[in-house]
Amino acid sequence: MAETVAERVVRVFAEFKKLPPEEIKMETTFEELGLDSLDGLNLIFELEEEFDLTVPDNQIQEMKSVEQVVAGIEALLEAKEKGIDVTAEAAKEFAESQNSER
Amino acid sequence: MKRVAITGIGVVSALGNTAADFWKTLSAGRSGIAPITKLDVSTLRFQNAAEIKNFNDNEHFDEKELLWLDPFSRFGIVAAREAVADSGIEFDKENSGVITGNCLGGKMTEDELFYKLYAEGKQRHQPVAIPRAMSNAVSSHVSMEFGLTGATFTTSTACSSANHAIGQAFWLVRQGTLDAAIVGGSEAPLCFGHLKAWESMRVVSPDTCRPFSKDRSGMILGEGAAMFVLEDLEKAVARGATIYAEIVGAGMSADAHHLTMPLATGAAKAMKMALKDGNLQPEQIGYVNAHGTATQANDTMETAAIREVFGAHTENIAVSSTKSMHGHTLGAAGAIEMAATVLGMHNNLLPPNANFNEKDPECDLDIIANEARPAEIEAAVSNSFAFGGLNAVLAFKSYK
Repeated sequence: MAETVAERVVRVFAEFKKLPPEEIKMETTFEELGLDSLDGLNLIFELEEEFDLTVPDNQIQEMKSVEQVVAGIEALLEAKEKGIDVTAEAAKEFAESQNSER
Repeated sequence: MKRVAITGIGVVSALGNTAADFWKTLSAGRSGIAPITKLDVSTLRFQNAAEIKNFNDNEHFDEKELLWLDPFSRFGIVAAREAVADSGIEFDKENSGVITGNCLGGKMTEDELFYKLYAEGKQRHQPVAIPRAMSNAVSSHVSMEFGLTGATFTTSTACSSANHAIGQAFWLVRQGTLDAAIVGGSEAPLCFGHLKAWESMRVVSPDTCRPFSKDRSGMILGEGAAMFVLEDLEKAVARGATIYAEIVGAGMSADAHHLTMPLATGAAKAMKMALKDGNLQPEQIGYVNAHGTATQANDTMETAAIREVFGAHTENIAVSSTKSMHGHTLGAAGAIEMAATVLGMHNNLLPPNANFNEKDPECDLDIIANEARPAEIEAAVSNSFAFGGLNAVLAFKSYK
């Protein structure tokens, strides 16, 4: 049976931290794994490679636990399936939010 | 110990290609940040930078010279020429040197070579890439141009490179090792491979640089150079030179903590050491030109560091980050910000912090929001804090 998204995320976490996969739980946070911000970016990069997608800058802040990463990746995979360029969308959204503040 | 005067200034930046144009744009609070035009960045997550405009290489160099010069050298040499002409100094060539800061070396030269090699498969390349790309190219070219044979070198400490260079040069002039020095920094970071590396670090803003503003969204890269003539103040007075300000102190420290997360105690230590080195009391400082990158991490850290150093006097200190206008020029940052600081002191007009929209309770400083502030101050400091936790702070006194 093919690996689920959650299983693939756990595998990437486990390889990154050199831990057995069973020690990575859904509720495990980056903080609990001792990951600082730069480690976190490196881990996100590994996930981008695993799933062949790009996580927009503004979604990084919403990825602080395994569960949040799985949710974020699933949403990005769905967007990719539909052919939505999330990076362009995020840039557009940001530009609009800036304009509305002026 | 000699007193050290700043008698010449040269600037090439997104705000203008002379010190006068730089000051005019800076003091008007106009930002040089705009869409990148030098290369196609449509596939990057950020599109803006502080680019130099209307810099005509052929006005400054002939074709043969250009072959040997990466853009970072072109900017540095042109700024050095302006500083020397502005100063009017006749160098004691045996005892004068050139000390510059630079972070990246000739990245644009390397980027082009690597593209031709890896992408286009070209196996033959012009033989000038190595001397074009070395970080010390500006020091070497400027020393040759003016025939200066005293201590000459380049420091490379990421975003603190220029402040480390200028601080070291100041000490050498103060202790009499050098009679005079051409000092500063230059950088040309706008090539695709390097911008891609910045993109992956996720610290570059998708639109503009808003230091200390609650809605800040990261840094904006800039290219440029600033150079100065430092000399024995007594000799400068004797020859009737214009003295923009006196450089009185330098402080340097390491966080010994983390490659990219800054530590307030390290930044505060460098500021305290600059004050001590300059025999200044915190109460004498009226302006801080902040490192102010507009990243979440730097600006709150720097606020805490300023408060630690200045205590209750913090309320009386005006603060701005001029990176909001000339961008973060990495190895040139300390030099361009020294130009902003010293020209501000000389003109009794403190440069503003552009793009400031909203106060951040975590950055509770007296930010010079958007408009320059007339003020006569006694002394100022200019901060640079680098990735790698290496800090360098310069202290200046007004000379009237």
